[in-house]
Amino acid sequence: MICPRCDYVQAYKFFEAPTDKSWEVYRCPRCNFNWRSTEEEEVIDPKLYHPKFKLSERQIEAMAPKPPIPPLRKAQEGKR
Amino acid sequence: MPYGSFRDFLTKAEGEGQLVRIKEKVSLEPDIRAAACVAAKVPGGPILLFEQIQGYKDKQIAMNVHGSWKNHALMLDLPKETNLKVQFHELAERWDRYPVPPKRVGDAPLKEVIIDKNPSLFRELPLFRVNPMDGGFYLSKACVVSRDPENLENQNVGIYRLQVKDHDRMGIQASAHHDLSVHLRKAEELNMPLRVAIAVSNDPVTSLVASTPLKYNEDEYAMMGAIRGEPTEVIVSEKGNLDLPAGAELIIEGEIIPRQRFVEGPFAEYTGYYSTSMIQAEIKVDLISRRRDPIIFENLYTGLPWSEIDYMMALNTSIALFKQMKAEFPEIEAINSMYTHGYCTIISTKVRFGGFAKTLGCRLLSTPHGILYPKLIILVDEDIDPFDLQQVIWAITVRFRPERDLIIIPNAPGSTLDPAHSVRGLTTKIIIDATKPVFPDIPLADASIVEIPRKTDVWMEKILKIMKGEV
Repeated sequence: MICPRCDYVQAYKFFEAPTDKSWEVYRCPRCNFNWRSTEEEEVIDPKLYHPKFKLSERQIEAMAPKPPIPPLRKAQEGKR
Repeated sequence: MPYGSFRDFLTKAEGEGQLVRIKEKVSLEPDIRAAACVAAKVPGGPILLFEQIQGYKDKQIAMNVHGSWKNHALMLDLPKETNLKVQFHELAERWDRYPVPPKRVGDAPLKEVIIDKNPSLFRELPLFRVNPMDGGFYLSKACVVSRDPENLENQNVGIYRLQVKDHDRMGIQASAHHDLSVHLRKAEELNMPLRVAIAVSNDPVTSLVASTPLKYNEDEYAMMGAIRGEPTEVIVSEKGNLDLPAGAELIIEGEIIPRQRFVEGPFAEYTGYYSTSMIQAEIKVDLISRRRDPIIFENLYTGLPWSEIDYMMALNTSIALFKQMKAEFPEIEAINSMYTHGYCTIISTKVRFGGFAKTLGCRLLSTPHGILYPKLIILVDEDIDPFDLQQVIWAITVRFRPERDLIIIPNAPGSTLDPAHSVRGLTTKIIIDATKPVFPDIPLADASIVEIPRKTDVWMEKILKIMKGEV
């Protein structure tokens, strides 16, 4: 399965409608996008996904952490 | 009587004609978002309760619980027609009862079912995409509880957006200035996971206070008690000694994974724009406890303002700023910080001396909320109701002299969600002093204000009686 947002090819189905299997939910392990099989084409079709919201691997690698990760405290900190 | 649970409030709202039951079967997308968007715009702004969800039995969805001034008044147990300024002052009065500490109880319906093996958020909640370009399915109104790892007395309850990514994984947005981030930073400095519990579908005062910018050391539960007029009932979490609001429908327990960030977003925010994708913290869920089915899942629609979020973060933000500033400047009459989470804030005040209002404008920018959010600050005299925009705009048109009364502060801290930034996190703020100039400032050239004619109150009463057919 191809992720509609980042085009990663190893997206997979991980859930379906509990009562009637009327829809399925998919997950992309690279960009964490989820989608339901019954959503609008613009959300679930890789070719129709809005270009402004597409994510490339390079964009993901360049993302800043929120909140920033603090330095680890040293064991002896404050005991000089 | 305050409401003990989410369900108690739904019952009250239904009795007051403020709840609409949708009995037809609805799709998770796009039905819920379309109906919720409209709910805040139809007259009266009712709560919507979707009784049948495609694909689930025994799951329901409630939307627009805070989405009108009528619902807001009912939350405060006031008549639903209570006007805004009266609601503001009622809330301000109750605020002064703080602290009313919570009461721990031994049992609550949210412990009826406990799932501690392979919990699945998708199985337990009818999750849906709030807006089409959101990066996933969000909990947009759940209350996150955590404790300061170095000072366990300090507990925080706050609403943070949560992106459900897998059965047991969810992203959480913790901005650096939020209390949760203080807890997380300390845990991460020690390379420890941070224990959290997330309460879904709460009585409306719980959500109101969780979205109020209290000070770091203030206790949200003790403020909920003050607003409600009696202690809030809490019950301890299965793990980690966290206090949970006992009236919730469902609790998610887990821990924030230390020192790692994962792709999150975008999400349509209160600005009416999508935020960008960033790498953010993630929670590993290890337990879900809940009421027996049917579970009612409450979520929040955020879209083009005004939507429910604008009603929910309106008076609580205004009151927090009012109390923080009035403590130092008793001249302040009221503060309206309702627009785009306070991006526009209007302060009504008596003026002690020339230039005084400008001092208040600057002081606003050093309150906890004011550091980031306000960027258009308007000062008006005490004769102007800051909740009445007709009056506010009138004051600007006749009392504001741009060459003397406009302050521009470039490169000031701003919300990272503001789409009008030049550098993300920085903004330009302006202060508009629309108060009448007083000594030693130069008075207005023509200061002969027209007075309201005598006996208007008598005539108001007469006209209303005639309209009602009482005369």
